[in-house]
Amino acid sequence: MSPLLAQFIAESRDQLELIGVGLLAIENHPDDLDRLNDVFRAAHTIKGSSGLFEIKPITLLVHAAEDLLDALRSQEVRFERAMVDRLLDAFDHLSQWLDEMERNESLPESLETTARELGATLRVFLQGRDVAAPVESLTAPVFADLVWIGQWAEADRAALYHRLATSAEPLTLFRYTPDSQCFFNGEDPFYQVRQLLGLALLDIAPVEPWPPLAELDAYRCALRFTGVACASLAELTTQFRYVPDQVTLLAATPETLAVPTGRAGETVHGGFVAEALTLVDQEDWASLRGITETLLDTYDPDTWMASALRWLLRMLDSTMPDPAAVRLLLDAIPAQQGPDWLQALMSSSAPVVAVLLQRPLSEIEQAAFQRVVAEQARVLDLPEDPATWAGRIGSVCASLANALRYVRRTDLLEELDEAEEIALSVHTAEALRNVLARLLDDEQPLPDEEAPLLAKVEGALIDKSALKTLKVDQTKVDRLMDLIGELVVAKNSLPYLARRAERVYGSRDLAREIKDQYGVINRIAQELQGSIMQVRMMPVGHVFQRFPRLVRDLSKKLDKKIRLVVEGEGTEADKNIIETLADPLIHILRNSIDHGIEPPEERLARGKPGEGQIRVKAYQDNDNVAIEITDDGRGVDSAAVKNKLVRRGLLTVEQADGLSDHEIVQWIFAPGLSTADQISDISGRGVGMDVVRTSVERVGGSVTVHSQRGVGTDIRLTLPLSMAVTHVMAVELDGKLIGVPMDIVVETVRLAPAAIYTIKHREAFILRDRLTPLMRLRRLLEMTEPATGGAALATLVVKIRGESVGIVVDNFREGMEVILKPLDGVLAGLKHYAGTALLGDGSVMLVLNLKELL
Amino acid sequence: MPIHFLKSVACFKGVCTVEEAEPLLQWLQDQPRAKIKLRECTHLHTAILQVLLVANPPVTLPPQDPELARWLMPALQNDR
Amino acid sequence: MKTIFLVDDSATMLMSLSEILQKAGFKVETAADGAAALSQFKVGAKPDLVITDQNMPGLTGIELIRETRKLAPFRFIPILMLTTESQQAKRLEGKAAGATGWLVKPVAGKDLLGVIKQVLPGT
Repeated sequence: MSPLLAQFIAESRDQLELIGVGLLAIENHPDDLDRLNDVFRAAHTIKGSSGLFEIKPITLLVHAAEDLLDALRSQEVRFERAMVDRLLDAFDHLSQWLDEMERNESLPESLETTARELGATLRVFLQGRDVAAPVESLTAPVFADLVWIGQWAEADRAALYHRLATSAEPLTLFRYTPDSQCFFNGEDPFYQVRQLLGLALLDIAPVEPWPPLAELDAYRCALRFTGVACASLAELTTQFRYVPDQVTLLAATPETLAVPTGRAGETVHGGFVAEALTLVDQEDWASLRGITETLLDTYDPDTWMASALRWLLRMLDSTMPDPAAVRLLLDAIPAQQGPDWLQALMSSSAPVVAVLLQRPLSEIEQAAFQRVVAEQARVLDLPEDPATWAGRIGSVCASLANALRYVRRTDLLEELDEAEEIALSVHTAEALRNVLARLLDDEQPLPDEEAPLLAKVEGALIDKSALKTLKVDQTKVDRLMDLIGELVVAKNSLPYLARRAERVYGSRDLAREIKDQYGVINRIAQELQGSIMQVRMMPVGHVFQRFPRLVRDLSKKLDKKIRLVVEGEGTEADKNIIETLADPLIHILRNSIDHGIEPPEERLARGKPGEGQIRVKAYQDNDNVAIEITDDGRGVDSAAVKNKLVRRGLLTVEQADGLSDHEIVQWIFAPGLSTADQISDISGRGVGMDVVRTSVERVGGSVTVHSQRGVGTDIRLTLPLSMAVTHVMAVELDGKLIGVPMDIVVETVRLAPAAIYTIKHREAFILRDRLTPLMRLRRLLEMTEPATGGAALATLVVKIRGESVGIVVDNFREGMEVILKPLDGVLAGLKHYAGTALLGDGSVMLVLNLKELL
Repeated sequence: MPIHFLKSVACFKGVCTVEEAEPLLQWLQDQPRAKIKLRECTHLHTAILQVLLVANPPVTLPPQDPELARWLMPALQNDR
Repeated sequence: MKTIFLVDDSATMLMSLSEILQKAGFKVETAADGAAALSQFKVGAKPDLVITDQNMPGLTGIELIRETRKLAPFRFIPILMLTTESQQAKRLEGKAAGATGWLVKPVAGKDLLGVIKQVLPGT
């Protein structure tokens, strides 16, 4: 898969999570605009990126969702609960499609229909909202006349005319008067003009007489660009699309160039025009050409008449002269001015229509304009500060002027200029406020979207200036982790080397130096380890994100009312730990919803509020992260658990009676024990809470439960913050090293064989006045046991699930830090081992999972 | 800096940006006899163009870039 | 070599645009949100062109443009806004805030380079 597609899929999944969480929040708080914006933005991002790939179903569907969200956001439609259902449904589909994309890199075409159908269910809500499609409208041209075309030398225009006669290229006239402040928008009008397609003629002139050089403001644009381009109106419209308000365009014919120029006032042969017009009627072009050539010889080439006749000849050069154009030129001769090609263009039946780049404002634009104006009004009303007054007025006026131009209220620009002058000179903004007041539409109060802008900007700056996030593929971090593991291992070989330097080569100094170096490297390696562990840390909230949806869906299904309270989402732990947490937590949550929280009637009958509550709370507890799931439901029925335990033969009646309620309740984590009377499709069948304990313990955590009948249940998971580095106690067994996780090791004792009691084939010993079971590791691992005679037995005392147990090993070795790698492939099934670790001398050590082994 | 100011000659090189308009204006105000060389210039920002139009210094070497020369030179010579 | 600074909260967008731009010979710098971009601008990033998304968490594109224009080295720099087809109104606001122009998502490489050529002399 291309990295880009992979990135898209990963990112879209993140966005989908955001959307899911956001939608649920919106369901309860439909007027939470921030949430709505978040969700909209997330959908928007997916849509934007999906356009990069050929995945139409996704684009189609997200587009529909985005439209609905946008309408909600801008309050064009009223919120309905059903919207959330449909949106959730749509995004669920999307999620599946992403999975499909990941597998096949494409989606079946049939999904396009599905996408349209789903989209239609969303668009239902948009009915009744009028979508004002922007319509291009034709209005009168703004060129008052086209005589200005005569400013270019006749030879240049003639050359262009000839070129057009043969190439049939389109011709467009333009006048571009850049905004005086345009440089501050990053614009370079001259460059823009140079980029124009087919630019043929150009005039650059000041809009008003230049000031003296000493008074010139270098950063105020005061130029106007007028020209002719061999390009279509549409092409120029596109090229000028960022400054439509500053440009006048006109699609023209080649004849437009035929503006005679020169000294006027010569005598005109009265009969010529009349004769010529007759010849035009007869379309006798050859004769017309003849008399024109003859007449041309009688005029000084500098005269207007000579110029007019030359243009006439040029028109006649065409294989198919245009009678209308020729007539218009002839009509201009008696007065020796014109012709008015603009008239010709306007009355022409040809599809050459003058178009001004203008269209009515859409409602959205109108609203945006209002927001800009409102924002300026607000800025004006900020407390005054003489130091920034001029700057503030300048910026307000610049924004307003831009906005006015965009909405084509240029009639107000002059007034604005005056108001600005007044504001700057006499330091009062009254005139400016008046202009603003007139622009503000009183009838339509605006959603106060922009008002808290300044505060928001400041806040964002403070919050986020230090925040730069980098998304990294986890495999890269894992690789880094492996390398650090190897570094730790390599580092651990230095003490061996020091020992060798001293013993084999007898150099104590060298040994000391090596040890010093070891100290340095050791420190760096530890810091490196700490840093990389930080990288792997992520907030537990990542897992919590799925909960609201789960609670919502399940409670709806079960007709229960449940409020979910989540706390401490920001608590961080290692990514692997977090991922391990997901399934157990969901399992616990399902149990609480299904079996814990009572139906509303039952709750009310018991004097509880009808709505149950489940609280998920995460917090850091020393080196552990603790997560508590508390519900105020019916609690665990310890009597039922006890019955079941006895019935299943897990405990004798006496044993069961000897246990406190609290101890009994812990048994819900035992395999194959389900206390629910009915099996539901929610918490499932056969899979009990034992799964929770297994997965939590696999990463070195523990789980406990407190429950009070009728009051509620509190399940607490404790997990290590990080599983990257494990402290192990190395022990010797059959000449090999074996690791035991240090966190369960309580102490080491050497036990005389005489101190061992054997009770019913089980061994035990007395440890601080308590009878403690004793196991032999060799036996547990099914290895033969050599006779040890009367030698003391190396015994490791470990604490498992609150119970102390002695483990007999061959010998103790040192405690060490290792990077524990879980067993892969076929070995992954070997639950007796937690994983392997690489040692300083390059050998591999197995690390035991004693909880499983015992 | 694409504009190099010598004693009384300014040499334009490559793309001359808006940031250089102000220094150029200053220089031209101080150097009433200034001349400019545009030979190696490929573009000059509108702001610079304006300064040149107002100050109107003689151009000793027009741009080699034919397209720039075509649009720029008539404008610079118009006001002469 | 010209430097283009991209601001977009979507890593996919950043990735695809960067690729197009780098292939076209531009140096590309990026930020994932407006505040990050702004702080880079303040500590000396000096691109020849800024392209920013409009819809971002924290500062929006328009807010970023408004703040960026207040920084002296960024007074005259071309800034393009990434918008969607439906965001015509935002373009007006963007222009008022100091944007040079806009691009409509999804952005095809040809269009992107075309617009850059149009606003950035010497490319």
